[in-house]
Amino acid sequence: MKIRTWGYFLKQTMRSVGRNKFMSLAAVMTVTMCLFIVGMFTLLVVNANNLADGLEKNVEIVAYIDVQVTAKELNETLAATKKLQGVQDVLLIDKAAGLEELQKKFGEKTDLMDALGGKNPLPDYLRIKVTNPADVEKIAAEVKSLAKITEVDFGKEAVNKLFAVLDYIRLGGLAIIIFLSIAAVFLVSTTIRITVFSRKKEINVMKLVGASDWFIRWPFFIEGMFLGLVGGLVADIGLYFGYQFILTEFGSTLLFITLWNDPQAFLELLFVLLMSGMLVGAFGSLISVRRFLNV
Amino acid sequence: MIQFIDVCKEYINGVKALDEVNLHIDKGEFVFLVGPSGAGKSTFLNLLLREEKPSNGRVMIGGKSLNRLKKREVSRLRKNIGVVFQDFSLINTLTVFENVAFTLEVIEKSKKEINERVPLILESLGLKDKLKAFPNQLSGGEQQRVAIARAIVNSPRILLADEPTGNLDPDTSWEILEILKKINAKGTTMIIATHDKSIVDEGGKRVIALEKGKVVRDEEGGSYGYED
Repeated sequence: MKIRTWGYFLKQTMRSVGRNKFMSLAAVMTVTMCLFIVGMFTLLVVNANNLADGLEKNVEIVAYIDVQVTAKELNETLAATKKLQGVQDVLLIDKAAGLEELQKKFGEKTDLMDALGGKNPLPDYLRIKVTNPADVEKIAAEVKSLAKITEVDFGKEAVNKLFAVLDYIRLGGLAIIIFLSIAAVFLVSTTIRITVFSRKKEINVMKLVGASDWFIRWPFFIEGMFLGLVGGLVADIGLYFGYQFILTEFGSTLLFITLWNDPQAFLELLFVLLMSGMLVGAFGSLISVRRFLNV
Repeated sequence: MIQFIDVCKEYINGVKALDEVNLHIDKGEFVFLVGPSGAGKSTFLNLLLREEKPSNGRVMIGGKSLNRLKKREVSRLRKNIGVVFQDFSLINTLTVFENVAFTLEVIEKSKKEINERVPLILESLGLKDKLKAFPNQLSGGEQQRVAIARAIVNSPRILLADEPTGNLDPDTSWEILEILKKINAKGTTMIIATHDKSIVDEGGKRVIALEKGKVVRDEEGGSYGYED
């Protein structure tokens, strides 16, 4: 193809987008919706993975001690815990310290002790750091079998729960993505089909004077890619500013969660989405051109 | 140049559009293809354009069978055949100039060549003042002349016309016929499918009559031979 021919193709594309403004808009919007949701789910999953990674790295075991424990029994339990293999460090947080910590979370305005009727209901508990996170499950079981320990809790459980939730998110996200992709391809191909119809006569003349198949196809192909690209761009802009907003608004206020913040990988994700938009558009146009041109 | 060898064309619905057609058309000939509706005239032209393939037999152009052309070769074939239709088939959103230039654009001729050849062709067909007009601003005769310009701008070796005067009054039909004769005189092989008794009788050219897919008459300097 000559360079001038590409100019001609682009002119054709702009002309037909201009003629079918409404359909083009609908197609662009579907692609946008589709890619925006894909992007949202991706970010959600990435953040959840990020969170799980963080949790796994500093897992610790929390062992709650019977509320009616005596000081002697408490010391014995503490010593026994320290002796367990694989335990790096044990920290005892007694009732008073536990309440203080809680008070901090609630802020200075409310007097927790007062609200609880002057009686501290919290148990003492142990915070156990392990040398190797992989052993955490085994050590937790050992701690639980010690005297006066009522319950153990360790990060792994939370992590496992998180992964279970993640699986649902992934599955649900995938279903929505597939559904929306089909809708996007369908709408793009319908839009292109209208263009094909409106140019049927031209196409016939083109065929009869010996235009090559690709010469006839390219303008529609470009139109589809253009619609997909615009859709992808709008979705990207939405995601970019949306996520920046979330980062600045909540990045520092969420207590336990550090949000995923990797500018380069984020831009890569946006780029992939943009290309997917183009692909969806190209695919949609190819379907309609194939069916209606029979060239 | 053009040869039909035992050509049959049967459609899926069982209609036999062409039945054992054997004929030979020489380079530079002028042929009228006549016959009642449904006799196979359009199929005849479609086979030459390779819009359809024969179900049996061979259509040859320049010694080459059209049966097994690759897509690329079909494009090349069509660049060498001009076509004119009864309904003119002009693109209404393009000007006269653009309609003719379109043919050259889609086969990627240079801008320079287009700007040289298009006005020249249109001038030779008496459309010098209509370059910037749109098809629906023209009379039927003028539109058909634009269509002819479009068909011949690429200097094809063969010109096919399907009822070129079907929508025109007798005077204009005669004028179109004169133009086609002139083009033929420069060496272009001309095949005209028509119902128009007057132009056939006036033409004094070879007449091939089809009926129910068979060639029933083929004579030099023939007449239309049917009573309307």
